[in-house]
Amino acid sequence: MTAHTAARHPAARDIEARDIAAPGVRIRDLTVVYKTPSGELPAVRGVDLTLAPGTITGVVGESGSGKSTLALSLLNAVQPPGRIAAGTVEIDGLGDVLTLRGEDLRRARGSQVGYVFQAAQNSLNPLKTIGKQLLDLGRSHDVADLRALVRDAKDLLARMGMDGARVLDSYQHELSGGMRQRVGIMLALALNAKVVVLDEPTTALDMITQATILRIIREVHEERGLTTLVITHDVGAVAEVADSLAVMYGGRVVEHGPVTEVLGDAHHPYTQGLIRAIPRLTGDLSLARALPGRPPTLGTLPTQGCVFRERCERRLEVCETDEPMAVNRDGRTVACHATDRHLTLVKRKEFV
Amino acid sequence: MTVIVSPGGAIDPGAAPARSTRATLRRNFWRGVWRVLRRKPSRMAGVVIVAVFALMGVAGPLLYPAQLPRDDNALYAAPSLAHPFGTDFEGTDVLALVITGARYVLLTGLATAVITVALGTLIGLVAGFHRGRWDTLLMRLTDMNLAIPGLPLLLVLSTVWKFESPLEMGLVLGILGWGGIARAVRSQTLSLRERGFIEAARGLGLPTRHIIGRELLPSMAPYIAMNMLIAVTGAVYAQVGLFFLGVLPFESNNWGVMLNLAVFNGGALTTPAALPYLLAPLIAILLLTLGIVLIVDAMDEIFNPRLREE
Repeated sequence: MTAHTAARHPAARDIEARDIAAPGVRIRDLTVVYKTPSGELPAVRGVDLTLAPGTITGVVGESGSGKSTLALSLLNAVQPPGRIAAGTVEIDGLGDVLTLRGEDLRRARGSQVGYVFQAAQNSLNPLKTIGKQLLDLGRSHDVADLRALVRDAKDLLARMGMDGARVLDSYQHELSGGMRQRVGIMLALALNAKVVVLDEPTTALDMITQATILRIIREVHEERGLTTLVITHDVGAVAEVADSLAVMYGGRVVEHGPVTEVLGDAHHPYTQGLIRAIPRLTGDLSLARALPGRPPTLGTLPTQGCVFRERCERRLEVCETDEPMAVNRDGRTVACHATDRHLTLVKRKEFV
Repeated sequence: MTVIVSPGGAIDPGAAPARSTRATLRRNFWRGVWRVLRRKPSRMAGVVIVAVFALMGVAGPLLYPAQLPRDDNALYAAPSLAHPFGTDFEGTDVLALVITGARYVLLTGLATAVITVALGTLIGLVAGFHRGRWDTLLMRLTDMNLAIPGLPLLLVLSTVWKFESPLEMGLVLGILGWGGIARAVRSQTLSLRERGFIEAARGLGLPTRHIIGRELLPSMAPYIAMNMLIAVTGAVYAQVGLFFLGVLPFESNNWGVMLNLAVFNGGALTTPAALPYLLAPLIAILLLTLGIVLIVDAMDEIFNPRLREE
């Protein structure tokens, strides 16, 4: 036992040594359109977002706000009828992902950018054991030492509180939802990807499992020195893990800043509305107020002016005609006419 | 000595080899197949029937001389111990005819099935996975294939082509028959490619060839295997039918030829004497179909690990 422990330690140190520099991610002016019978409609429009190296950024928003599309753009994996129309996604050490094609792009996926898919519990092949899928992954990325890959995977699984050997030997139907989710995280990290995107990692899991997964995300993030993007519609979950928070509405990032500040003192009326809509654990349930109106779909999105104006209680005349610029104030980015009404125009800049 | 058992103790490397050996055994595909077959006696019966026919096809013609013996004293003899299904118009043993005729029938069936499934699966997979222009092109091709009237075309072809080799026959039947499978495989692909694990495979950077061959295809394996077996029976019907109609020359020994001679020469429908001569190939076809259907029943369980387990 002692010998084994001693033997494992150097390896653990190696992992830490490898992981010093977390890459930064810079999304600039990203526009993704979907082809529909009524023309190409933008699901993400002109998004600027910077993920500082080594931080966890949360992205929240209602369904259809463009969160998942944004996340897929990080992999340059938007499927037809979708198309990345403009912008750049720069990842340190990889360059602009959107210019990668074919084999380069395939290699970047998995090895540089790890992706945990929405409903990761359904993203395992039902016909293969987890170990087989791990080996498939290793082989298609030309991993020379498959034994080391399996060992790393077992360590990772053990790190997440599971028996690695047993899990690798299981089919997905032999694992619970939370276990599958963790396996999804393991597969995203197995090739030592430094940028990890988690698309709704806690959706459809029970509260206890949610808490565990969030803790694991936080721990693995710190341990491996990752840059993480967490997509969710659960503001509570994001408050738990994220360092900074971006709020999306109608394909725009309307507010972005440190998570405590954004949640503690929201500037954008949409963020304020979102926070008001969270039911409290104590007190009257009716204190939680739903946002009026319904979230816009691609088709109903206004083409000019502020996308949120129809549901906004602080609507101004200017909102009808001009789209608000994202302005940086007190270290936060907000795109709203109402909040910067009393300010002189600030140079367009976003929170980093 | 204090032994600190960390949570990592569960993955103690020393314990791993024993564990994985047991695991390999558990995952052994053929053991799973055996267990699935044993679960229902009917499946075993199916395997036995098909195995007997396969044996007939392989070894049947070796058991008899190239020219089957005739017995002029026993034309249309009734079933007896020496001739379990009686004899034909020349006094040849009917059972011997069925056994030696199996090779042509089964080879044609096999060739047809392989060609049908290979072409149909390939075209369906490519069309369904790539969609767009490829899909349109391949599906129009499939529509054309489906629109070709098989029997009339075969009748016309048979005037210029003698189909002496079963492989020639299989080739023609296969090329005529892949349309249905292509359509079905395409629709399966369209549905499967949207599933989470395919999306995840793409996101993890697995190559397209791997995704199509190793992720999509195995999910459809029971379906394809089932179609392949059913294609065998289809091909058997088709060629036996052609020979029965007499549109193909009787150069080879074949169940269809037997049927034709029994009905049109022996008058099996009016006189009982030639009845065993008619029934023997019919029973053979029936048994073959039955055997295949019984095996098809096991396909889904064989390929689905969830059903394969105890």
